[in-house]
Order: sequence, then C-alpha cells, then structure tokens
Amino acid sequence: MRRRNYLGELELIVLLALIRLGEEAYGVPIAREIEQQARRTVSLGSVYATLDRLEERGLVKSRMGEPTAERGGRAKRYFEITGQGMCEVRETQRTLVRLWKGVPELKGGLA
Amino acid sequence: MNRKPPALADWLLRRFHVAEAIGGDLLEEFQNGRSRVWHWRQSLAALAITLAPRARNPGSRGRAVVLGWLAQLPLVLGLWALHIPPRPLNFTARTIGVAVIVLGTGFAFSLAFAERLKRASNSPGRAAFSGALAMRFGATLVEGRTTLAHLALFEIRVLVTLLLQPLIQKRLRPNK
Repeated sequence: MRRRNYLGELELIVLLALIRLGEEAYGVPIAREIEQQARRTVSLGSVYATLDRLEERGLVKSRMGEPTAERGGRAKRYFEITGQGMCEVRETQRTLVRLWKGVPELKGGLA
Repeated sequence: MNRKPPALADWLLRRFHVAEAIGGDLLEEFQNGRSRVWHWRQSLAALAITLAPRARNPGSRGRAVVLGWLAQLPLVLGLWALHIPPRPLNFTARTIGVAVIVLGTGFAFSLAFAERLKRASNSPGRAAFSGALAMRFGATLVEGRTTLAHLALFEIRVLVTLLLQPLIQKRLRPNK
C-alpha cells in the first residue's frame, strides 16, 4: 500500500490535542481534549489507532508509565509530538490558511 | 469509589490482547463515573479496531473464520432483539421470495468461500462474516427463530459449517 504523507483530519486533531496537553498526554486526556475542543466524540480505540499510525510515521513517540492499582495494574502510555510531527502540523496549517484565503465566501467566518 | 467494570468486557479485552493502556484508560474512566454502557461501547470499539487488522492477516484460517463469525454476532443479536424479521413469520409470496434470494446468497457464499480458501492472499474472515450473515438471515426467514436457544443452536451450526468448509472442499475436489 502506498504510504500517504499528508495528515488526515483525526490525525491533525490528535496532534493538536497532544501539543495542547504537553507531557502528560495519554488516552483519557487526549480523548477528553478532543471532545471539549473539537466537540466530537471519539472512542479511545480510535484515538490509540491514530496514535499508533502517527508513531509509525515518526510524528509522535510514546513511553509506558508505571502500572497503578486504580487502573487494574495496567500502565499508562504517554505520548509526545516529535519535531517531525510539529513540522507536519505547521505545513498543514500553512496549506489550510492558503486555501482559506482564496475563498471570499469564508471571509470573516471566524467571528 | 471502587466499582467493578463489566467482567465480560474486561475479559474480552484481555483475551484478545487489546493494548494494556486502553484497558487501563477504560477502567480509569469507569472509576471516574462513566456508565457500564459507555464501558461496553468503548470496549467493543477497541476490540473491533484491534481485531480488524488481525482478521485481514489472521495467521490461520480457523482463527479467521472464528473472527469473521464473531464479527456478525452483535448485529445478529441486535436484530433478533428488535424482532427483525418479525415473529411469527407470515409465509406470503413476498417473504418466500426474499427467503429464496437470501438463501441463494448464502449458497453463493459457500462456493465463493470455498474458492477463497484456496488463495492465501484473500480474507477468509471477511468471507465468513458475509456468509454467516447470509445463511443466518436466509434460515431465519424460512424457519423463524423464536427463542435465544434456537438462535444459539443455529449460530453454532453456522460456525461448524464454516470451519468444515475447507475439509468439504478438499473431499469434493481432491485433485485441486
């Protein structure tokens, strides 16, 4: 399968949530951030599937935390955006802004 | 607060090796007040997302068939609970016509599935999913499944048929 080099919508949203959350980003806060900011419900499974894809592409990196009793002895998996991930987000932002500027009907839509 | 999550959902997550972090996140959210329905919905979504790639590349045909058959169960049970198709059945010309079409689909599936099994690159899991569904609806329209026990017995029959397909195929065409 040909590997695509652009970000999908959910991938971009997840990366932005990671940037907003900083170092303490794991499944629950990421899903919550998306719910609050993007106003869409995502399952934890699809958040992790997206993060796995991004990690394969080198756009995020993850590390396992310590297992805790409140999580039934299961560890948290913390995620962090990489430098390459940040470049991809900036590139996507530039592309979207360029496209935005060329559409007069959408002028003032942010108000 | 130390609530117990749905035991079956938790067992399924462990049994099918859904990522440890997801199970932990679900438990954490459940302890923070999420409902059992929420836990079940999230667990099923995580299972589907985890198992879908495995069904495409399952390692063994037997496992692929079981995964394919399992995938159709929630839909079948859901429709059965909603009384679709309606019970008792009316044997009108329309119902019988539909039954013939659906049973034909089931039969066509059997042939297609047998063909697919000969080629390693295809997905027996997906074939099993569509086949089990077709067989199940065909038989429901003709016979009518009134109790959960009937449904369970029929599903076991479907699974056994699917698992025996390669053997039947081998016996029918020993040279191929």
